[in-house]
Parts: sequence; structure tokens; C-alpha cells
Amino acid sequence: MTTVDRIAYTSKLKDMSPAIKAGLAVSTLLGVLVASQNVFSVAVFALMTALCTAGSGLPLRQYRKMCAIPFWFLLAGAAVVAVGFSEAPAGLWHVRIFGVYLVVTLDSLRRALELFLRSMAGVSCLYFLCVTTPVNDLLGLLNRMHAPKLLTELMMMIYRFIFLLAGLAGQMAVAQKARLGNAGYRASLRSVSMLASSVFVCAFQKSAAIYDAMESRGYDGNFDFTGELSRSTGRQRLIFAAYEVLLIGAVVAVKWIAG
Amino acid sequence: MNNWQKRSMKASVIVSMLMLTAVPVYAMHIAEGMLPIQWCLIWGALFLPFFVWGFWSIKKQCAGSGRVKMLLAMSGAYCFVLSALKMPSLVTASSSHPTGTGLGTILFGPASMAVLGFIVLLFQALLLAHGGLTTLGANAFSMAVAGPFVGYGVYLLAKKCKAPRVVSVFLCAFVADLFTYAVTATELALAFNNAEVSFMQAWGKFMGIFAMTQIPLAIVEGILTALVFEAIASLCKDEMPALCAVTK
Repeated sequence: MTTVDRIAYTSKLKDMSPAIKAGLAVSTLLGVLVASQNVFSVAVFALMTALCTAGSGLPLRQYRKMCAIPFWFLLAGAAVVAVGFSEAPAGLWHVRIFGVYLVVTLDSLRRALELFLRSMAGVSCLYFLCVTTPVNDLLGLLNRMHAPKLLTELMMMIYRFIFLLAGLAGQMAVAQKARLGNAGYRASLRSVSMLASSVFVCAFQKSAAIYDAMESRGYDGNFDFTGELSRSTGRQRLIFAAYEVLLIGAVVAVKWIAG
Repeated sequence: MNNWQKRSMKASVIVSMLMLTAVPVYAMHIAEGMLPIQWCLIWGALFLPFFVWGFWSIKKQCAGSGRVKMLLAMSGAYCFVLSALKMPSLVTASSSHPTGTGLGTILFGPASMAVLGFIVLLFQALLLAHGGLTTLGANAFSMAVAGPFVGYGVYLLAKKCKAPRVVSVFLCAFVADLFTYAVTATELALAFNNAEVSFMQAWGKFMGIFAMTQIPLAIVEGILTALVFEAIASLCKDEMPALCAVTK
């Protein structure tokens, strides 16, 4: 969590307009879902990998490590989708369980592969947004798009408090570990519940303290964001428009070839 | 056993281990790109009214004082941290994560959980790459709407039956957890049925996997929530009189 946040703040593309980055990621994501073709998914994954590593300056090793988690999980998910049921043995592989056959056919395998590649491509689009755009910029963007003020304020505060509480919980976990709080199952269950309740009490007290501190500095129930969002340059907008045209063209072409 | 048999045996063990360890950690959220576009839109549309309702309810709660807003934000962050917390797991060596919706529902009500859950899911997608942007609607519907509402119903029912507080809190978290997974399985089954695999078969497939991993998980989360709630209730006397009304 802290690492993704740090990566975003140290990205080479950090000062690019968040509107362009979010637009790029979301439109490509939608393109992947609409096209849902293997060639397209692989191409998007390659493009996003290039943008994350060469474009944003993330070391390839770190990017590979980030991709490993969804890779295994999506593989398991695709394996579940690949398995079908049949009354009789059929397909490439089958096994008898409780009177029915679990079968894997060529068709279901193809579907599973399509799902796997589509999801990996989607995850890479999400990663592009995560590693190039700090959350504060995204919240600023939401504000500019006239999202309800209460919502962006809540998000702003939650974002700030997450790191506060995560730090607290981390410290408590270390303290518990140092005192053998995790020796045995019963002890670890007790430790986790103690940790969760202590963090809750701390959160409650902190929220009251923060409110007092803000009120004494003239807080009237409204947050005003003063940070400037970086604007896009004319050249960036041109490239973005060209990319969108290309993307839509590619989706249409891929759909048309696939029938 | 010949060589080939040994190898296939090993491969099957690895695959089953993989399913058992990988699925529980991420199972509560559908990953980015898993759902076809029409289902993303449908679940998003179904979630929207709950979100708007929760938003108005929060707005009403906040109208009186800014203190409530701060507390709601803190509890949203608490839900996030709770869901990132490692929970000792019974089945596998790996640890798993609680959903944290049971506790939030009892403390703040299901309506505000719809909004807080949505924000938590968004940050999980952006900061941890759990879940995703296109599957946000589906995930929010199962974790921030279906689970909390049913869990809260069970909690009220148990309270009405004069069950001890520990039992009703346990039931709320347990049922909220299970129902979240049941709805997630339904969402997946609706998206992944076809001529070969009917809806019921697909549902059985996803439910079977969830049942294997999530029922023990839900029990652990139920116990955990009951313990946490007891601890909060015992502390609340001197620390936070405002919450005492809820914990009674």
C-alpha cells in the first residue's frame, strides 16, 4: 500500500495532467472489455507494461513482482471457468466426481484463456493508473468533475486516515509479535481481536482530537482544496486524441475480423 | 507409480494448493477485467440507488456537526485497515483477510456502509490492486450492500429473540460474510454460464469453491468480530460515551 503510493509520487509521469492519465487508463480498460479478443488483450498488456516501466520509470523487476499476484490468482480463476460438467466422459480431460464428469473441452479452455488474458490486460491498465497518479490528483480530478463535495471530502479524509491507522496497526502488530502474541492459534486470535479493538478506540479518539484541532483553526465544515492540478499541454491533448482514435479503430477492427 | 503419474499427481496437488491459498485472499473481490462489460454496467446500475440512499443518509447525519463527518471518515479508514489485517486462518497456512463489514454495519448502520464500502473498495483497487474499477459496481453490490443489509437483518432478528449480544454480533458478521460470497458467486455464475455449463452448474461450481474456503473464514471472522465488539463495549464506558448507545 505504502509502496504503490510511493511509486506514484516518484513516477516520471507524476506531473502529467491526471485527466489524461485517467482517460487513457479507463478508455483502454473499456476497450479491452468491449473487444475481448486475445490479440487485443496481449497488445494492451504490452503497451501498459511499456508505459509503466519505460514511461513511468518503474523497474521491470518490481513491475513483474506486482504482476505475479494477479497472475496466480487469475490463473486459478480461469482454471475454475475452464471446468465444465457432463454426463459422459468427453473433451480433452475428464474426471469422475459424485456421478458426474468434470470435463475440460477445447471450447472451455479457449474461453478460460480469453478471460485470463482479458483480466491481465485490465489489471495492467489499472496498474498504469496506480503507478503514475497519486490519489490526491485523482481526488482533485473528481472535484473538478463536480463530484458531490461531501463525497470527495470523505474520500480525502479516509485516504489520509488510512495511513494513520495502518501505521498504528503496524506498530501494535510488532509489539504483539515481540511479546509472543502469535504463539499458538488461540493467542493469535486474541491478539488480532485486541489489535482491532485498540485501533478502533484510537481511531475514535483521533477523530475527536483532529476535529478539535481543525475547529480551533477556523474549520467551518468545509474543506477547500487549493492545490493546482497540472493542466495538459496542447501536444499531449493531440497525442491523446490520436490514441483514442487509434484505440476505437483497433477495437472496431478486432471486432470486425472476429465477426 | 511411474514418472508421468508422479508428475501429474504433483501438478494436481500444486493446482489445488494454489486454489486454496490464492482464492481466499482475493475471493471477496472480483478482479479487474473478469466481468464482461454488460455485467459491469448491470451491477453498477443496481448498486447506484443504494449508494444514493446511503449518501443522503450520511448527508443528514453530517448536517448537525462536523464531528460526525470526521468519525465516518475514520470508520471508513478503519474498515480499510481491518480488511488489510491478517487474520489467523484455520484451513491453510496462509492468512486471510476479514471483510470488516459486519462490525461497520452494527456500529454505523447498513446505509452508511454502502458509501463507506464503496470508497474502501475504490482505495483497495487504487492502492492494493484488489478488485478493480470496472468490477467496482459488482464488488460494491456484494460487499457493501448485500452482505451488510442481510447481516443487519439477522442482527436485529437475533436481538429481537433476546439472544446474548455475543451471539447476535457473531451471527451478523458470519451471515454478512457468507452472503457476500454467495452474491459474488451469483455474479460470477451469471457472467460465466453458457451452452455447456448452465447457470445452476456454474453457481454450484463457484459456491463449491467458496464453501470450501470461506465457511471456515466466515466462522473466524464471526468470532473475531464478537471479540472486538466485546472489547469496544467494555472500553466505551470511559472512552466514548457516544458509542455506548450503539453497543447496548
